[in-house]
Amino acid sequence: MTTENLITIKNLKKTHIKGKQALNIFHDLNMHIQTGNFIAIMGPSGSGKTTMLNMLGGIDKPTSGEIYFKEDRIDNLSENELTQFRAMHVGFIFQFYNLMPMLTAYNNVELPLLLTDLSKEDKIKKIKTALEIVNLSDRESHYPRELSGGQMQRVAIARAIVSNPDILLCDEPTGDLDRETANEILGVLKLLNEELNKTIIMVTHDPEAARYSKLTLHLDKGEFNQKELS
Amino acid sequence: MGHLSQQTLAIININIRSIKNRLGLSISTIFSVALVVGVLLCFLAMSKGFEKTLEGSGSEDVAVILRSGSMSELNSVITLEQARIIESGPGIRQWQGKPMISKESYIVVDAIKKSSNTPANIPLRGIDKMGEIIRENISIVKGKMFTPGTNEIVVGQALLNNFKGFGLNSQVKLGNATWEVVGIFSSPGTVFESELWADINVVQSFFKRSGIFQTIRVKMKKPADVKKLDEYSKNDPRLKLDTKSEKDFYLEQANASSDLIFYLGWPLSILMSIGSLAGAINTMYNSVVSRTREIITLRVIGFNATATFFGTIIESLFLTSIGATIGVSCAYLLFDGLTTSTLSGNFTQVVFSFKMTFKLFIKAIYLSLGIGIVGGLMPALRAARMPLVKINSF
Repeated sequence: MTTENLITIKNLKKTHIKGKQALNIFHDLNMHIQTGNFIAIMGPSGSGKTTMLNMLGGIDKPTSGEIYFKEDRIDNLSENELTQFRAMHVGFIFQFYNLMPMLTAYNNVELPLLLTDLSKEDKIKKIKTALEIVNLSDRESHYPRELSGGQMQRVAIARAIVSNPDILLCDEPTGDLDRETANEILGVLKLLNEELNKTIIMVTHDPEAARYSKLTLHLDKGEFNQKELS
Repeated sequence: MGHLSQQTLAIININIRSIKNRLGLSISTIFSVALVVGVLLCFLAMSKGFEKTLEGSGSEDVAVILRSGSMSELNSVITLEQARIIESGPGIRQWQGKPMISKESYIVVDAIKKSSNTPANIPLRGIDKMGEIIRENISIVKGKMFTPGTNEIVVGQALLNNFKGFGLNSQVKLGNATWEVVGIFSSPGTVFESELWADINVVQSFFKRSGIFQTIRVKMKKPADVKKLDEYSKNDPRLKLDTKSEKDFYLEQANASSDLIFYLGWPLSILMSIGSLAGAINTMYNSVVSRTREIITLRVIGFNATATFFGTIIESLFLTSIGATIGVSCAYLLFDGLTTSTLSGNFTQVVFSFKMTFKLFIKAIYLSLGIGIVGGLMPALRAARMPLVKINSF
């Protein structure tokens, strides 16, 4: 397994402007995230966990500093370039699944593949495989309303991995689930990391969830716990 | 990256399948567009039908002569002396050694409309044999032509269908006299079908118009001779008359009346469109707001803003197209060929049929598409510009 630097952050600064007040979320942050890592980011509300996830996923931009994905700088990309970047390299998993209620599980998983030039046969194969990985092959024709919370999150995971992205960004993926179901979902994420070498960054409040990761970073006042940085 | 069309299609699929979540608003938008399209088509078809009827009434080689300045036959007066001078004019076709000139009187009489049971003005035209010969497309479909010198009348088919009491062999009181309907004549799609015809001498006698005519129709050798006759008339100080081709005469009348219908129809439709537009905007904003989570999710996973924009516009067009289809269908089923009558330039009723044409449908569809695009524009921009960082708010 390769352990190259997947993401590099240099002198990152993020400031939120609220009225006349400037709130510094990050100030001069530097870090590396290696391929195949499974990182849990914890910290109090407002500490910048989600902001960090958004910047890594090309949803938000830093106030200053640089973010590199492999060798390529992504913080200065245009909106269209960031859209392409997300489609090609990033899989997202959200707390409330964010499935399309009017589409079946199969069609939800298919969505990222509509952004590719794959043939119909290849698309079908990939969708079936993704649903198999999350153990939902028998639910492909079900609508989200016909699925449990855990099953919906599995569909969301299948959607996130179907286009084989380099990194999975998970924002409180178990925040809406009971303990048992949460553990199942975390098990799936761990499997994706260990068996398929998927790089995963997970924001969570749940110390139990963080135990599934290889590395837990505590974020407070805009700084990570330095000891745990890789 | 997948094609824009593929992304747009996916978004359209999601948008349209979620319409059932906003059924009430969507139906009200569809209904309002259907109403706008229906009303517009109704006016345009009325205008077109009226125009067609009057346009179809005129021949290019028949000159219509009226008193100078008269806008209609009703307020024209031509003396017998003037009529005789016209007989010597240039370019007049001959029939059995006689100039083809029809001296006609035009009287307004009352009749009861079948549709509303209310009185309305209809024209009684006094003609002689030449008046019938000049009008080539006239045929008696029931009964016979009136006998000269009697108080017999023949009735236009359209008039018969729309006014009470003119059936064959009926006795009709017009002015101070009683007339007998002896024939029904047809002249499809022309204004003449909205008229009663009787012998000129009898009409002049009963209505005290002896020696006076309202109009003279002259059959010319060729269409260009109409101008020659006009020049002849203008050069003779005894003739203060206007001469124009019958086609031009009815065309001018058609334009005046159909313009009125047309210019009433469009502003009314545009006013209604504004209301419909407000409905469409409201529906589409509601659509975008209710799908904020889905829209942002799609954008986050890599769908581009342009696809989101077009997806919303096309959803709006989809709704307005349904409305347009319903409006066009209803207008066609209810109004195409519907016969009605309205006041013409002669202050008498002209019977005409609503005329739906492909061009009118296209105009109505353009209007509905306009509502769809304008109604969807702002919501679509909003959808395309949603801040992605809100993804974590759901």
